[in-house]
Amino acid sequence: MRKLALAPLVFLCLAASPALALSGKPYITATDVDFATLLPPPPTESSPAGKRDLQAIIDLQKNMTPERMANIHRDLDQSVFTVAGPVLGAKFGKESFPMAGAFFDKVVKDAGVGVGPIKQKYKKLRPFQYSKDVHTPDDIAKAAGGPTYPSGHSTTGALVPIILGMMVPEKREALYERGWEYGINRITSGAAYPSDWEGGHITAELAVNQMLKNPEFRTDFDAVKAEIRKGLGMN
Amino acid sequence: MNATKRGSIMRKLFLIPALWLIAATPAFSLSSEPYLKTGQVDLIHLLPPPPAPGSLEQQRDINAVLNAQKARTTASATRAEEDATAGLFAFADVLGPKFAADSLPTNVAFFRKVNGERGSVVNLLKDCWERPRPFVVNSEVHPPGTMAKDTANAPGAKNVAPHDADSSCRPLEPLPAYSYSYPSGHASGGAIMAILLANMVPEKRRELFARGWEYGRNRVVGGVHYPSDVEAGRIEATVLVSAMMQNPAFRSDFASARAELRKALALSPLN
Repeated sequence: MRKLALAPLVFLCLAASPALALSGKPYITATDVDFATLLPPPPTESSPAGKRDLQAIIDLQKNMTPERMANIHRDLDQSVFTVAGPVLGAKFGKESFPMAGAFFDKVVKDAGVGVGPIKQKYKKLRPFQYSKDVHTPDDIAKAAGGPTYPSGHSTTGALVPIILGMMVPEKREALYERGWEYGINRITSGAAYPSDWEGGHITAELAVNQMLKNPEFRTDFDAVKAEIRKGLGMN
Repeated sequence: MNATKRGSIMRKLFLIPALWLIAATPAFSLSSEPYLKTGQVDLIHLLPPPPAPGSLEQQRDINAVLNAQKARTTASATRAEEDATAGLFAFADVLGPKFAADSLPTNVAFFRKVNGERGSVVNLLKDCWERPRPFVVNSEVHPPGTMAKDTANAPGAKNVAPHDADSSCRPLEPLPAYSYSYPSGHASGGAIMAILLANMVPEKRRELFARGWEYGRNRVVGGVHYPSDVEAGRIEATVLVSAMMQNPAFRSDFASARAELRKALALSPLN
């Protein structure tokens, strides 16, 4: 009886093993990079930069289309498959690339040392919380719990092309274009300012620059690169 | 001439070079080694390539330049022109008239060294992607005053970037009349000075960053850069500071500059 009960567990462990092979330690820790010192404070809403920030959202929302709104909803998800899918194609999915999925989830989570504490340092209101001229769908507003600066989505939208662009340089430009657009969708939703977008990009760049010095990151990077290139039929 | 008087002149003569040495000491006491080690930061692989011609991002970028031009006033154009050459002392807007070269020899030398190393990286990156300036590709963009002319390529400038397959650098082309657009050297300079000054005078952190970011933004106001050039310049500056901060020689020079600046501004020392 006990053996039978264990069988599904064994199966689960085997299936999950590529993901479990990733380093158990974070690729970056809070003391590695002084994000609080390096990141600019967000502009106050009443400053010229703050007013430009708000106006940019209003202008983007003027050109809202059903297609853009559908993309905004699609881009709530922060997995590598959602961010890079439009560039790498339908083949690039969770089932065929288990290690890539787990690796990028870990990268995004670990880079959070440059997002969460900064959000709490400034506690800046989301654009839709600050201005009635910004219209954000209820489900997006509800999900956007924390303060606005820097944008976690824009951090992800930069982490993915920086790292994936090193693994698949053939698609480097398209990956960046998509990653930056991913952040613009977040701005267009009214859940982030352009300055949050820029702050997220700076956080991502600092984080990757640090992660590249970590041997465990590099080992995992090489394994994931091999999985992705093989799965996409690249040399 | 008696011995006493002769001794007095001797002492005076002796004192002159000594005074000169004292005045020059802070500047000369900076580390002679570079703050950045070769290959310490791989910005060619970290920075996004500039938007490609014909892309949605390029369209957005040029529209932003044209909109900034439409919103330009005589006052904002003058401000952009001033920032094209202001350098470190643009921050006197925030730190006041005591923030002046005469009383800050260590800071002048420190920032010259920081900006020199930063500028070399910028030039390497510019030559990698070879993005033309907005006023070069769009005849509706008119930089005020001499701002366009001031971006002319220095005679003798050379392509030096490694054009390896993984970097997305463009194939080498003959140098154009104007230096390349991406990333913005002024935006990276404004950002690096803001980050460092804010760490010397945290009391004015918000204002210093706002000024340094305006310094970059003024390149778009002037039509000599795209917003994406400016963002890339800021990213570059931030990553370079994070790298410099790991160098003990940099930290030591930074501490000397900070002590000098806080004293000149009559602020209490920081540890």
